[in-house]
Amino acid sequence: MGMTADQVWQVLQAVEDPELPVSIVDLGLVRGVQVEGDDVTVEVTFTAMGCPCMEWIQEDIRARLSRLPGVGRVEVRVVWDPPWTPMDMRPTAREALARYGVVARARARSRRDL
Amino acid sequence: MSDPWVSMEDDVRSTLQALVHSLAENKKLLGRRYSEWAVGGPTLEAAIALSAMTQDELGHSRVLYGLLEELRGMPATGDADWTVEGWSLSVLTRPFETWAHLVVVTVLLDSALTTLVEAATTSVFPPLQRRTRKMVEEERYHDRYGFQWLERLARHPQVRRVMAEPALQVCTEAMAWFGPPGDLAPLRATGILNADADELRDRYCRRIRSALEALDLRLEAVVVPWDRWDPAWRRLPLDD
Repeated sequence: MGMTADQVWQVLQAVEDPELPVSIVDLGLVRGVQVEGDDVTVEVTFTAMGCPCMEWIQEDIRARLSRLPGVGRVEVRVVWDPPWTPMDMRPTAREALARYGVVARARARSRRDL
Repeated sequence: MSDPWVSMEDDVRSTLQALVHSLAENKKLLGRRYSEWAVGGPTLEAAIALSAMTQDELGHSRVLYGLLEELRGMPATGDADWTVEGWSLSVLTRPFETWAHLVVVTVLLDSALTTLVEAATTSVFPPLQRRTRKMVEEERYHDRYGFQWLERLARHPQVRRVMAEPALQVCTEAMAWFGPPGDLAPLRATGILNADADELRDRYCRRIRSALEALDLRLEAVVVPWDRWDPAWRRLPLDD
């Protein structure tokens, strides 16, 4: 039996945005996961279009998923719509950011409104 | 459902490709010009703001080049090519001499590029539409930041006079960039944009009117020399 989407989400939980660093799942950057047979597609967005860690994060996703037994092709798709906002963060990400001294406002519309 | 890019008429496709190319390169150069002030702003806060705006413009440029690759059916390289290919507007081809000049460009040129991006947020062409909302969202800060600085600087008559000449030049280039009357009509007719060149210019004029007034300038003072318009590069000729 191949990999499930739940297992992929678990692996992605360990991928961090190195700038913050907080899990990309908790930050709300992972927009979707599809598993078809052995192939995995991950849709990911970023906090900013000029995010300097885009390649790094995508490589991390590919590397971690490719190491799993039974995984074939791993595709990472970058999506920009709907745009990421701090509202997409899970409470765990807010708590982690608070530990770094960043407070995310409940109604913040973008990263700069944090 | 047919691929909207494949089913697109040739003239629409070539116009869209040129427009995206011009937008991508002008954003790339704008980012480069902003970066020159990321260590030279008048205050530490200004330098940090310019650093963030640089990041935005270069990010937008990278995403737009990705769209170009998609439009041309090329595989996405993920590598930004920072070569300047010739689409840039004159005002961006050399460093800004003063902070006031930078503020003028932020308010009067950055906003022109955003006016076009906003017109694509309702696009029926998904590869374009999907990239625009985030861009518009990020540009809100450039608008706000530029206008605040412009109002602050324009309180001083001497600075106001220094800003007037570049303001007229930038404004003329920006208005020309949308294209001559009737331009982009096929993009509007097909729903790729929600405005043609004339409507985009009108929206831009509404957007910048108060900024020009703060500099004691009037929109009527901006006259685009359409006889010098270069359709191949979507701009007026480069300065010598």
